[in-house]
Amino acid sequence: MKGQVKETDGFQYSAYTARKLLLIAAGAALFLLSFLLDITTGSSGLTLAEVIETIFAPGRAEQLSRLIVWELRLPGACMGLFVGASLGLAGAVMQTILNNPLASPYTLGLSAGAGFGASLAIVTGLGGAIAAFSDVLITGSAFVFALLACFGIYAISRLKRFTSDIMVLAGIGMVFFFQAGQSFLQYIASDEALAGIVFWTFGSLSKANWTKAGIVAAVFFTAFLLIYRNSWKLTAMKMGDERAKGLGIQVEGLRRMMFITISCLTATAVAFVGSIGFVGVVGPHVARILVGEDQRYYLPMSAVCGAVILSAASFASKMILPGAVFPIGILTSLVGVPVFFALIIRKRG
Amino acid sequence: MLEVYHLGFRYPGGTEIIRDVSFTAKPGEITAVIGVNGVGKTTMLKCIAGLEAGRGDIRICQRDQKSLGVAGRTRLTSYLSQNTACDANLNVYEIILLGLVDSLSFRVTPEDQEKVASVMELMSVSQFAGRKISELSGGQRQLVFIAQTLVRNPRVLIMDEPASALDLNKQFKLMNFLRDITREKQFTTLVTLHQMDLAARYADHVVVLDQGSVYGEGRPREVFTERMLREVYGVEAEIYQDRHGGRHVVALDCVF
Repeated sequence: MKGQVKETDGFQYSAYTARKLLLIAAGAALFLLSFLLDITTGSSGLTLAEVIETIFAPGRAEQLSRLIVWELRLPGACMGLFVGASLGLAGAVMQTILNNPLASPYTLGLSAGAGFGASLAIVTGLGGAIAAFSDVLITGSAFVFALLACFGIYAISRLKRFTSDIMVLAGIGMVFFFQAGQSFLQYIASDEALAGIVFWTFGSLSKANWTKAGIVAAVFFTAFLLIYRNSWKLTAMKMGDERAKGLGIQVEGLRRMMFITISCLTATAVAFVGSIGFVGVVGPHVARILVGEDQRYYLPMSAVCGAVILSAASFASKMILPGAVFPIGILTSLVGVPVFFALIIRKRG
Repeated sequence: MLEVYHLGFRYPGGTEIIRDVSFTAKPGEITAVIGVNGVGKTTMLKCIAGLEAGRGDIRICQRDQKSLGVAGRTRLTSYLSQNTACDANLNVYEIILLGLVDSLSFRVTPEDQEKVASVMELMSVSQFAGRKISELSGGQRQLVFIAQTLVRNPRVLIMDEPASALDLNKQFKLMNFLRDITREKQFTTLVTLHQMDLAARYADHVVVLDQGSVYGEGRPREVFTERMLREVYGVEAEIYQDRHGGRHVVALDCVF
């Protein structure tokens, strides 16, 4: 192609990637700020200095302060961190493997599956049958049904060689199926069970403890490592299946493996905290604007954005109603829906 | 060297697209595959590139394609799709870099960066380096994807309609470039082409597909005949030779 005028716009790849790393670091710093605001906010009236002293010198702090900070606020904030990061990461991978910017654990029915599972445990009395284990049983049921939603998508997609279109359609089917099931359970539920279902579906970090946060963290780090080692291949998938296959990537196998990984990740996250909508759509979308779709940067940025959104939502949920915690799932959906519409309009445009 | 023996292909539950195709493409030569729409040119290329599994035997650089495995196949071949659509939020540099996907680690080495810079210069797309692929025209995207296939430095180049999205000037520039680089690097270059003039002018060897089989093959002057154009394409045409010795096809009318 010699003979054309050779020009250059001064593009420097090293500087370009350094800027992306800087943006991820800035996102992490923003998260730290949000995390600090989250753990210093609450109805107990603890000051910032008291909270910091309780964290770094718990021996000198009062017992009540220790209880509030170490048993309530920190586990909740850490749960927000790992659930937000999990939903952001899962959303990013879903959007990549399905080549659809609207794909997320929420829009593909995984949250609906978890909601149905939790509702089933509450309505059948499973959750209350053994009081000591009620929380575990509700969480377990939510986890199992979130995985069943994934299995449904997997089974249907398998018939069509795991194409992205069929996976999205199967996911939409799962949303309607499990929402119908949950509506039925709400219809037959007692007043007490109905209140339990409604509270669960609001989504909440208030029942967090160190064990739960630890489980979510362990699943997040395992999934992140499994996904991240395929980041170049996932980036290539963004060019479309045919091009990726031409580069030697076994697209169907990679899509299947990634889907199983994010299914476990999402099922764990939503089982513990309930339906928290749109973090999985909005987080990756913001990350895409900031660092593009080179997955080496896009995946960690999506996790950071998810963590920032949920942490900020947790902080805001304590500020809306003084002395009470506003359901966090409502907040994320209220912010998420306008962004969702903006995404659809942009896509159409 | 690329050898294809008795290649056949049928989509599951569908009709037989390719019945029995055999031909050989040599290093340092451009082999053009021509034929009417839907005759199976793209499918045949996909089978050769390993994107679809067909019957028969394919030998790439004297090695059996199936026994090469994915890694071996992608080391020797590079496939260019005819589809130029791409809405990924990736810039031109990143797209070309992905041509090296099977050997990249987290940190892109200076050697890899050098390879990308060289091929960008070669294809005259350096000025687009930082631009999003989705912001480029179809023709510009086609050049970028050709650069992606070249950065791999393959032995066999498999290109589906590489000139289809380009204007007339760029079609000639691209084909001149492909001819030169094929000679210089001794690539075995296999292309499908719709433009008869380009095939007649630039191909060293032409394979005509018709009804799932090879209608004829040979040097352009042997293949481009009025009879072939009538029987395969259903057009009345005249073929004449210009003052440089190049053969040109002038289609006059359709005959069926």
